[in-house]
Amino acid sequence: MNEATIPAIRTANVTKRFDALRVLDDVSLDVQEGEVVCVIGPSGSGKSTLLRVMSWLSPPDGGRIELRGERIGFRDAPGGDQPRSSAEVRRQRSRIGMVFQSLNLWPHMTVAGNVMEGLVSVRGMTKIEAREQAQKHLSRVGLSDKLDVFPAQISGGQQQRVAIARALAMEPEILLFDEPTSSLDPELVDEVLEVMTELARQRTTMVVVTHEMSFAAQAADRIAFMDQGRLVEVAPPAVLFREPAEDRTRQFLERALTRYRLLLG
Amino acid sequence: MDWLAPFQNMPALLGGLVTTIWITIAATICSLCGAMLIILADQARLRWLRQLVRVYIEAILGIPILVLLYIVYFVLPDLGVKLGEIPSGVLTLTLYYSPYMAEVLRGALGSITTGQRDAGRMIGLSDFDILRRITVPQSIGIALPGLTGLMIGLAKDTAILSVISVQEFTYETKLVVSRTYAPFEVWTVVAATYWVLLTCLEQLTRLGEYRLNRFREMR
Repeated sequence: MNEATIPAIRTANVTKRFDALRVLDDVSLDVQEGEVVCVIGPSGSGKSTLLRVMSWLSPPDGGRIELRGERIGFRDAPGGDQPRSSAEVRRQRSRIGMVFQSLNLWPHMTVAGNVMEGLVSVRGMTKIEAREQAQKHLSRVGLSDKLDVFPAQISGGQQQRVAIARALAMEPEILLFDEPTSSLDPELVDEVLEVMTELARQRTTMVVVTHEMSFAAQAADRIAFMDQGRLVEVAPPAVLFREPAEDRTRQFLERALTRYRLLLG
Repeated sequence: MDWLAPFQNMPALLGGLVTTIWITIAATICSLCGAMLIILADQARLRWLRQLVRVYIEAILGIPILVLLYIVYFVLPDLGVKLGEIPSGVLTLTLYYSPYMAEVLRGALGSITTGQRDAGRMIGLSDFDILRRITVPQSIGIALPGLTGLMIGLAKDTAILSVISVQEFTYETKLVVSRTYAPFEVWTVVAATYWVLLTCLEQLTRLGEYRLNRFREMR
């Protein structure tokens, strides 16, 4: 296999159960370097779980995740799978950036402190170096004037942009977004989507679980539709929105778009 | 009235007060350690260990602290554990207050969302780093009022150590009273001293609480 065909992140035949419930059912998805994939689907379809599995926050029950060809969590060995040490998994995980629906900033640290934490504690930078980096990444999300305030002092949209800067600061190979705008007030959604659109334009490899159809249509190279734990179809937005191959995709899109049109009146 | 009595006996009273203060500090530190052990044991995989801790907590909740003190001081020696007066006192207070402090700490730790821990894991922080940098710093501010309340209770309970002749504040007061025959004056001054010191402690931690939780209220 040559270098160019190794995906940034590969999800192969992944299964995840919570007790009897099959949350992910044989999901396979390759995301190429520089590609933006949006994951859409009804709630409970396994979208968020897919991201948690990809980031190894909740390891899958079956299947494998590969980060640039390197298997996460396990090592292939002649005798079978060999679990990686927790330090190795940590190192692998720090190559993946994740932005959460519930923001998850650390409220007792300043904005700069949130961004610096991984640089100091994980990368071993000095505070001065880390602060310089934090400044750089916070200005990428338009918050270079908020370094020394606490998360409680800024809006939800600004907090989510800090969370994006925190992930970017670790210079991840791939960014995962789990419904990054779903917990925000409507008027704060756009500022976050703008930052994400800019990242997409810079060819950042991203997987975005979202309900924002217009963002997906504009920013995504491909859209993945999930339903009941299965990946139903993956296609470029023009194809998926205009002529979905599967009935379930069409039904979902019709409902979602009708709601959108109703809103417009 | 002999209001000079308590002040003429200052050296003895002060000596007792110093003993009370350092027993309070020692027992508080030991109780915090005990509380952490209880929390750790409660999360252990060993079933018998969890059960043991539960039985101990139930027992503590159902025994007056004075009875516990007698058990430690008079019964443990029969079982081969001979401790001096002060170690017995510190051990009693520790055994008695650890479960309560564990409860307060558990509540504080539990109030930190899993999302914050997930964010730490995604940055590549180890479990220990997550505790050290994220969970514990926030928990301290949350647990502080509860822990201070318990520490004040503990400080007051040091008075019962006088029954096993620990030469702390209350014990020295009793001696001074029997020497001076001025119970009204001496006890009044001693009670006022307890009250002033404990009120200061409470105010001090309130200040610390404000500083530790400042980030929550800034808007």
